[in-house]
Amino acid sequence: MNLEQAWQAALAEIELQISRPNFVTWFAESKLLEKNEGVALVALPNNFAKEWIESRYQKIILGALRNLDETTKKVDFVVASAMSRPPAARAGLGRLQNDDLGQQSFSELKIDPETNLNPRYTLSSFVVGKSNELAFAAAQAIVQSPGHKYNPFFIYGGVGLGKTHLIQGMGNEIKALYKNAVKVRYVSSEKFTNDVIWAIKNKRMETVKEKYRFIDVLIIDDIQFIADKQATVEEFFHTFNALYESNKQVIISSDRPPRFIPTLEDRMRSRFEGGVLADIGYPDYELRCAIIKTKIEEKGVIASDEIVTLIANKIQRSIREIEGVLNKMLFYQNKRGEPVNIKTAEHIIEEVSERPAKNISANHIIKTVAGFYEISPLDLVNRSRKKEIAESRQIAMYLLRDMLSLSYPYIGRKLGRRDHTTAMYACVKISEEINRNQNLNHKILAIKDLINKA
Amino acid sequence: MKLIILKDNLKEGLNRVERAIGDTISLPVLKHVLCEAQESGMRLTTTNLEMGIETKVVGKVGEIGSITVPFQALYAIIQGVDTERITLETEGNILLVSTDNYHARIQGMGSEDFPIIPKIQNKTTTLSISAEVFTDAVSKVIYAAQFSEIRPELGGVLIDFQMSILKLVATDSFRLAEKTILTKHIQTNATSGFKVIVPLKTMQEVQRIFSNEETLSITIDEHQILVSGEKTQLVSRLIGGSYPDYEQIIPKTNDLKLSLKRDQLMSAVRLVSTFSGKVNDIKIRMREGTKALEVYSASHELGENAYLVPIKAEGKELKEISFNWRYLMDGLKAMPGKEVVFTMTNDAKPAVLQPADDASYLYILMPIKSS
Repeated sequence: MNLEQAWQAALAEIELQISRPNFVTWFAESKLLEKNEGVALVALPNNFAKEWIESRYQKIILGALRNLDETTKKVDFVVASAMSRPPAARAGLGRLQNDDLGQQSFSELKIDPETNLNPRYTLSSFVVGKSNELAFAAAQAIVQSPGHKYNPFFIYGGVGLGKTHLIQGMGNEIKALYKNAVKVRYVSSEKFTNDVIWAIKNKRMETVKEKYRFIDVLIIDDIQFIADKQATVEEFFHTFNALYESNKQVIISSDRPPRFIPTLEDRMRSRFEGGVLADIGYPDYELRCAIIKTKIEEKGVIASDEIVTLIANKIQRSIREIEGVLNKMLFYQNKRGEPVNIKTAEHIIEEVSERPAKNISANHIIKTVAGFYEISPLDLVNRSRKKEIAESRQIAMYLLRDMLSLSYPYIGRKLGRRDHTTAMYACVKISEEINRNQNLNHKILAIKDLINKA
Repeated sequence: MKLIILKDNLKEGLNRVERAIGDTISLPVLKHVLCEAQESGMRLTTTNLEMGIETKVVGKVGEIGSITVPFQALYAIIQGVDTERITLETEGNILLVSTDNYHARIQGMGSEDFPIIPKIQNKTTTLSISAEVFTDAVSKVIYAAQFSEIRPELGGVLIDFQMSILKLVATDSFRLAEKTILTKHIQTNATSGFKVIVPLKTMQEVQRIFSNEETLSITIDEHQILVSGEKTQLVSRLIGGSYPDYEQIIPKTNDLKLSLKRDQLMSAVRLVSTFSGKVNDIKIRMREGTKALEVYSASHELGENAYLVPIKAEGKELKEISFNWRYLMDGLKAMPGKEVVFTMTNDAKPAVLQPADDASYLYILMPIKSS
């Protein structure tokens, strides 16, 4: 007989000995928590029930339990207030009435206060492609047996590529799989730092220690931000060790691999590198298309394939930017009551994607490209057909077109009085090539960075 | 039990314990008030099993004893009688109420059937605080909380004691109010801070019952809060679970900061709301270079109206943001002082109302989505 069955049997007997109203009032939501060496522990919803039952019904309960199990010697009572929480509570989290009428709610409150996870992020909505498949595979393995396989799990990659989605998705999945048996906690570096500061201020270091050390899965986002805060790093190091040594899963994200976080102490670095490192790279063209299509479905945006291709081509860096474009499209769509056409889409993309500042000149682009390939700007203008120079020249043409929207004849003239068809050919070739060749794509993104920085 | 008591004293006592009368039908004794004649006077107790209230009433006790009687019956009698002195006497389970010209026999129950009000044994976390300061702070946040089946933790007021300050916070997820009390008003034996969520109903009672007292003492244990004043003690369960991380909601930056007169904005909101729609929406706008905020609302059937409020503005031009005027009004009503500062960023980010000269109070509200 398990505890629940035993308690049901005992309740049936108790019910016979006291009046119906008393039974309903005092024993609703009661529960047999454990039976240990003849001591039964009964949980009650509040102190009123505890006081009353302790003083009036203790003998009856003990008698009922003893009839079931003769070894029962004693009954103790505890209050467990969380029991009164309706079972549907957690599931309905995030959906609050008024929301449909346009009244917005604080997005921070949609987060589960116990785990700090946003229920929006799930592993099933994570779109997998070449650039993130390793990270995703590791994530899935960890979800299956947290703490045992890849520990710590260190995931890194640029802004807006889905790190947070992946690690929060892991948290939500673990939570769904193991329910309350596994305690998951997601924390941003900022929050962790604030907790430490709070603890120092209020002399409650113990609270922070307790808060983090009794966790089974700790997920910490953007670790690079705590690297230069000494007291926080110190505390994190102890937390990390405590968890790691008791086989608790630690999941860490950062914008770069541990060896490139300059302020990170060696002992931390070696700890991180002792686990599994996985990177999330820039998504290739196919992955971008897949992500756009998934998000379109999620958000209910209506968009033609033409628009999908356009977005995938124009926004190469960040999924967050793609999301921005789709949100804007949704806004237009709702406002006008019709799907966005390609013209508007182009306009939106232009607005959202970080356009270069207006003062970027053609010469600046040519110089930067030349600088990147460590050749002289003159080489680009000259007639040389050496492979490296030809490629960089084509990239320069592509960038002039892509970033400044200059005309083909002008681009041709600018780069050594070439024919406008040469410029056209270069632009088409490069824009096709970047979808196939990740290496080239990365190079172009790096050059664009340099151009925008100056 | 036998005692003589003044009508007004008894009536006030019954008033204090009134709201803890239970509304459950399952256990009739919860609709009763426990009357005890003790050496020092009379004690009245009620409970609905969420909270219990005990209060002392001055009276001349002839014979010690106790009884429970239905609250409503006793209350109606005490309100109705026209003499000053009332004699209460028990005869078994019957309470005799008599004055010079009136006699009543109320069928009651023995006091042993009345629930035991839980005590807090371990008084290691007690705050002592000016009742005026505390009840005023409660009134400044309590309207922002709302009972919720889905989110029980939002159906309460957070008491966040951080040793150097005490914060009261309430939110219904659409708006949030936070009031900070400085420790100069507080004395404590606590060695560390704590965070507890007190049910909305309990806080309403605290505000109602204790606003006339001098000093309150607040004691916390794992599941309960005890608030006591000179005459009255209130014990209540706490709401389990964790309160959301509300500090993250407080915006750290803004694009526009408006300084304006509170009563002017209140008149504007009140008047303009006449034309607001189903979601209680009104819009505010400000053109760059102008020194006025336009408060505007329109309805398909009724028409439209706009009110100009003089302001001092710092920051970007404000195209348009919609707010629920009731939420805006709630915040404005609770603001102390004449000048308020209203900061915002855009129609998807929370806006903040604050008194111009009082950093201890803060009201945050989310706009209505423009579409």
